[in-house]
Amino acid sequence: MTHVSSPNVLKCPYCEGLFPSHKALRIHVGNIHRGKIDNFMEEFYGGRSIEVEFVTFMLQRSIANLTSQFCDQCNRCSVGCPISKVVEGFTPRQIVTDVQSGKIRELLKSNIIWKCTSCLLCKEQCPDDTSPYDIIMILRNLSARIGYHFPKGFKDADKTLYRLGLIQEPRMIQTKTGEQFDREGLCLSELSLPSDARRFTKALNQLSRMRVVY
Amino acid sequence: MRYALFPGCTVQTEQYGYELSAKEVLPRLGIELVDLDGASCCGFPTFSTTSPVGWKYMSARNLALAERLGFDILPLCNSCHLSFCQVQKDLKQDDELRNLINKTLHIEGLEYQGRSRIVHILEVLHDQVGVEKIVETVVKPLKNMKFAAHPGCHAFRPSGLKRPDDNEDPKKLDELISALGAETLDYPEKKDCCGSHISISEEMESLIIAGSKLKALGKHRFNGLVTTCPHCFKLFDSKQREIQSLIGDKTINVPVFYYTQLLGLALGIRPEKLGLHLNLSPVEQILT
Repeated sequence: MTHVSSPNVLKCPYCEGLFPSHKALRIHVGNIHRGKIDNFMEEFYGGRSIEVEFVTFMLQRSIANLTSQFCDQCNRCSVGCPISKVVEGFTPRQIVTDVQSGKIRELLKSNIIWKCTSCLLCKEQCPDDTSPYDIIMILRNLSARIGYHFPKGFKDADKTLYRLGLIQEPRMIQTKTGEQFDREGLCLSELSLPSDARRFTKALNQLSRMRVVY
Repeated sequence: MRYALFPGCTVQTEQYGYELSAKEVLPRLGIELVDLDGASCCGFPTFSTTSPVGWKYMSARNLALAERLGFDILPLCNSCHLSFCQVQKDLKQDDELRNLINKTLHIEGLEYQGRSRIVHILEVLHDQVGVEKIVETVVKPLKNMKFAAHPGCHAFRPSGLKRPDDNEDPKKLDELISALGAETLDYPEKKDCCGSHISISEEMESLIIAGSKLKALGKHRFNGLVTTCPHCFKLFDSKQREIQSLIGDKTINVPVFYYTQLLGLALGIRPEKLGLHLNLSPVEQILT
């Protein structure tokens, strides 16, 4: 690789930064040279790029088959969608249409799939088994795995989950009059948490590494 | 009736008013609650995004804990309830998935067999305790008050999975509110989503969605909004001030209650014991 300046140090191709590992370099480019990350990945980590291509191809084929077979564009999914009222251009049907026409990479890169509120209205109204909601959840999982766009709020929740077993730490809350309370101050019983955090994390790690969809 | 109480992440880390009021009122109606020691997040809707299998493990794990205690499980949160029901169904239908999850559960010495039932607080109050028993128990009826019931999407959707209330016409929460001597009204926005599930990624959109519902309530002259879901409550109550300033509408001023808080008031319990001092919306409007 051209950006390797010595056996143990990697040099960033866009600035003077030096990094001890590939991971550190990728994180740096992702954070600091955001606009260049795709070119960077394709240039230096082709394998991953091929994976994206492959997944896109497979998805396009399977979902497009599925949706053209089932989705008759009745548009019932998009009536009443709470996000359609707030975000211009967002309709559940549009997501399905984009998948059908192979714009999966664009969908994964944008934040549009993260705007769904999981209200399940489209799932309820869709006459088929695979509703726009289900497709959005598959796309979110792919986006999270491939690393295109994974919102910070979700990332933070995952981190706390691995460590603590809950999505957030217990909070000290403040009343309207400025008083502060935690669980203890309100005489609530002790927080319920996995009793053996090490085993819990091990189990969770083991499963979440698996690339299977059930 | 005895249940393993599953407050869920949101309730036990910040929505203390719900836990306080549920633990205060349910035992008075003959519902014994047991803490589910060792419980964790149900996995939905955050971890389900990262790892669909990991999510199902998380839910199955809590169900297995309840099973070990020998009790049915009562989640306080609509989404935890939905998650448990979905995972229970998936594990019933897919032997391979169940084996995989059980293999992992063995690391913690647990096993999922599917023996514990999953009950929703609307089912406990409406179908088991019953509206009549609640009417009999009320000592301080909430007269001359009209409340908007907000069951929350996951209490009635998707109908393909057994939900506590009817998808077309969810009425259980209304009937429970009427049992307290208050009025309810079928308003057009009743089934509208609160937007809370995107509050960790797309906060502005979630506030706008919640705001439009709060604004609509003004038209119908409600004295407040009532829910049993901590996610919905969090937006409508805890974020009401943010909503006010974001959409620039100072007329939004809606008292928001957990049903268990309102029930507690009607049973004559002091507001502090129900955590009403923790509500950030103007609940004092109806307390005086």
